[in-house]
Amino acid sequence: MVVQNICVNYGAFRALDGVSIEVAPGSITGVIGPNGSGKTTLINAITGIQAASGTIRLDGQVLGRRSVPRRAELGVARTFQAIRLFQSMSILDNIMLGAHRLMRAGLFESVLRTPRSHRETAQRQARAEVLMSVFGLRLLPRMHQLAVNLSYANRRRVEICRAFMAEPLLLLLDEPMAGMNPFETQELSEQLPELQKLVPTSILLVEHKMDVINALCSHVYVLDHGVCIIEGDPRTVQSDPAVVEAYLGVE
Amino acid sequence: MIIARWVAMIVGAVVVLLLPQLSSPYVLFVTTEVLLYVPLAIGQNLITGNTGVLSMGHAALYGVGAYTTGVLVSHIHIGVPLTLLASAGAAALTGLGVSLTTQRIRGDYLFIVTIGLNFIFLDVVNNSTWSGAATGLFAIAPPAGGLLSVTTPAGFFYLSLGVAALCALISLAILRSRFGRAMEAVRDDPLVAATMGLKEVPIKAGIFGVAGAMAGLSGSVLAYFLGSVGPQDFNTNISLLIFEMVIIGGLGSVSGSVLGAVVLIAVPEFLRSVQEYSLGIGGVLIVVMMLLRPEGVLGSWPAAR
Repeated sequence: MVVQNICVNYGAFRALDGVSIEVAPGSITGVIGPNGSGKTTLINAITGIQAASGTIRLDGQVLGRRSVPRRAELGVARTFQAIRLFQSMSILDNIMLGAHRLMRAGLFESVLRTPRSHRETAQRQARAEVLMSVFGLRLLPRMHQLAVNLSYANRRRVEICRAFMAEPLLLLLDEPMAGMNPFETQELSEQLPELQKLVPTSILLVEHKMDVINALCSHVYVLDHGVCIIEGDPRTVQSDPAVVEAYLGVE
Repeated sequence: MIIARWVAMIVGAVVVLLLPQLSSPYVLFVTTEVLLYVPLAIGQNLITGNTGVLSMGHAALYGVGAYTTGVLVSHIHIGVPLTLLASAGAAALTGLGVSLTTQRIRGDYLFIVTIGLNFIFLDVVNNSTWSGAATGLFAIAPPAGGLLSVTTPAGFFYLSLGVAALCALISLAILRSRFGRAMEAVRDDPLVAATMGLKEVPIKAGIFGVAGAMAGLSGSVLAYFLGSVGPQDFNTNISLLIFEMVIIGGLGSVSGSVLGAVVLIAVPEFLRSVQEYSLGIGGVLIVVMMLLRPEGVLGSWPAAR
């Protein structure tokens, strides 16, 4: 995935000012930056939620003015910083909806319960169970419970499973560790590569926690005030004076 | 427990099927009326309960079905099954059209707009010659001869029972399928649904089409049953009554729709002295319900809590 020279304006305020990034196939590429630096805006622009100028290319294809569902069909999936699950549905139903773009039997066909639709659903459910099993017994025994009753960390895990279910070309994770305790954070940074092994995809990881970026990313971009101030491997980037100033503050 | 449930269901089914033999003509008439409202409540529940669209003009879809039958029977003879199908089709297309033209209007704004559409429908049938203007269409011959012959009150009871059961089965099939989850996803969070590739506009239009077909079928049977159609049967009070059925019976639940139709049609009918107040009784019930059980008696919508 390549993003070139992307700009987003909120009225007179320029939230993203000519940002260009590239996510190498199969990589986990990081984006860091202080609050308000434009990280979530970048994800919104790539998913089509936020109108933006510039070019976004996915697997050689220009996304242009395509709608949010069209981009999802092409293989863009995401999670949300503030977890957004379908509250009235079970964990399994939430995760299964992630596979919508892969289903060959249409919605009307599913009502008629054709053998094809039935078989497909069964296959996808088996797949969902494999993804849930990455989180041990956190989700599997509860998969028929309502999502609304889950703990915060488990809701986040459901959201991550749902995004992986789409088998996307590009997966955008918006601060997946936010609100998790150090132990859960550590766990999740081991589970993300495991999930990526099950579902080969390219990941753009927006994160606040430096140690997570260090552990997972080979390449990282630093945003500040809507501009990419530096990019490179995490360790070099972290010691850069401009990053220290923008991100950690001046001594 | 399971055995007890099956026994109860079988006994219930036998009683319903033998009702024409067991009950007085009056009770049979009221039961038929309830059954005619079941497809309306079920359709409204698909729209409002499961898809989360506040639409308040369901009587117009009902009316499109009834008038289609009225006009077809008095002008063109295409047989009863085709007339039923044409009425369902006309109302389905109307529903589809309403959904597509109002796709940009959300929440309570749509509620107001659909009331307006109900009024437009009333104005059209009140002022057109083909619809018999304010007096409506009369002498609609009951279905006789051919494949489907329904002339007795018992016949109409079974016909409306069949239509109600068909609509309930279709609704259950939709709700248990992936389509059902897609509708609820659009209701719970349209933006997240879109990031999954779910397209709100065709999903809503599809549901309006299905609900329209159900309302049209019911309207068609009503036209045959009464032998006449008039504007008063499809005014906004009727839309409101259908809306109340869904709120009271239970948002998102098929059995809730049935219960709502029973409570708001049969109860006021049997308590003759309060019949004039059926909308008001529904109103009181809604206030009590919102305080005690906001999802309705049989509702399954935790987000409403």
